[in-house]
Amino acid sequence: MADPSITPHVSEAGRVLMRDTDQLALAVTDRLFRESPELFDKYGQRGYEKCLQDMRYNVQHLVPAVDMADPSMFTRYIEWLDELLRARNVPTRETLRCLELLRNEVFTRYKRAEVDAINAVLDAGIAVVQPK
Amino acid sequence: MTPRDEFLDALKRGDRQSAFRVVDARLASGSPLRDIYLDIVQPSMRDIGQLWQDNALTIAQEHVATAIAEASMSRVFERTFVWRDNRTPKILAACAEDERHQIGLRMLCDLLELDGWDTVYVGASVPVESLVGLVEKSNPDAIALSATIAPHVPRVRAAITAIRAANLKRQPVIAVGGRAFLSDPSLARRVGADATATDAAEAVSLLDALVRHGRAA
Repeated sequence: MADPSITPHVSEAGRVLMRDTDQLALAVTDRLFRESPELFDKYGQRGYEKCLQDMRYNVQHLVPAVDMADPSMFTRYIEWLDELLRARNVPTRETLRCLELLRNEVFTRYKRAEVDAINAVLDAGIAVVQPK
Repeated sequence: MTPRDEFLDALKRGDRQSAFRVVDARLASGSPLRDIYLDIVQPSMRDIGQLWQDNALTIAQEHVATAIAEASMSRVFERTFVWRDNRTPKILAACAEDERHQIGLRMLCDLLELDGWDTVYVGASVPVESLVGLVEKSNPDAIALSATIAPHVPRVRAAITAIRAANLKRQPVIAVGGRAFLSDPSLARRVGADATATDAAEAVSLLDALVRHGRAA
C-alpha cells in the first residue's frame, strides 16, 4: 500500500514510515527471532513469515495515527490485534515485544522530530499491552 | 432459533440455500427489506467478522459468508424493487482505495433506492482519480465513502480533498462510515466529511435530513 502520491499533506514522520515499511518490518522480525530462537521451534518458518506480514500491518496502522497525531487510532488497533492474536495462541508478551523492538528501530533510524512523533503513538500502543 | 440465528448459522456453514430460505420466509411473512437487512443481514455479518477475529472462521469461510449475504440481499432487493420515474436526489457510494468491505455501502444504496433516491453503487477499492472522474460525470447530491481499517482513513481524506477541489456544478454532501469511523465520531470531521453514521439505517435518515431537507448535520 502506502503510495504517498494519493495521501496528500502527509507528515514527514508518516512519509518515512510509508517509505520504510518493509525495512522496518524485516528488521523487527529478524531481531525478535534472533533474540528468541525458540520462536522458530514454536512457530516455524511459516510463523516467521506471518510475523513479518503482521509487522507490515503494524507499521501501516501506525501511519494514519502518526499523520493525524491521534494515538487512539493506533491503540484501538492494538487492542483489536491483541485479541485476534490471542485467539490464535500468540501471547500478549510477544505483541508487546514487537512494539518495543519497533520503538528501538524507529529511535535508531530517524531524526528527533520524527522519532518524537512516531514514538508518542507507539508508546500509547505499548501501554495497551503492557502488564498491569 | 430466531431467523437471525438461522441466517448466521447458514452463513457459517456456507449454505446458500438455507440462507435463501430464511430471507424468503421473512419476505413471505411480510417483513420489509429494511427489516431483513438491518435485523438479519447486518448483525449476522458483524458476527461473522467477530468469528473471524476469534479464529472460529477462516478467511475463506468469511468470504463464502459474505458472498451468500450479498446474494441474499440481491434476492430480497429484486423481490422488493419497484419501477419509479424521476428518482432523486442522487448519491454515489464508494469504498476507499484498497478497501474491500463493501456490503455496508451496498445496504445503504439499496435502502436509499427503495426510498426513491438515484443511487450509483461503486463498491470496493476505487482509485481517487477514477472516483473524482465519476463524480464529475454523474454530479451527485451526496457521496458516501467507507473505510474499515485505519490505514484507509488517509485515503478517504485524499478522496474528499480531491472531490472538494474538483470543478463541480455543486458541492455534494459527503458522508463517511465504516468501522474505522465508528469508535471516534470526531474523525469524520477531521478527514473533511460533512457527516457520519454508525449503520445503514442511521445513514439513511441522516442523508435524508441533510440532502432532502437541507438541514445541518
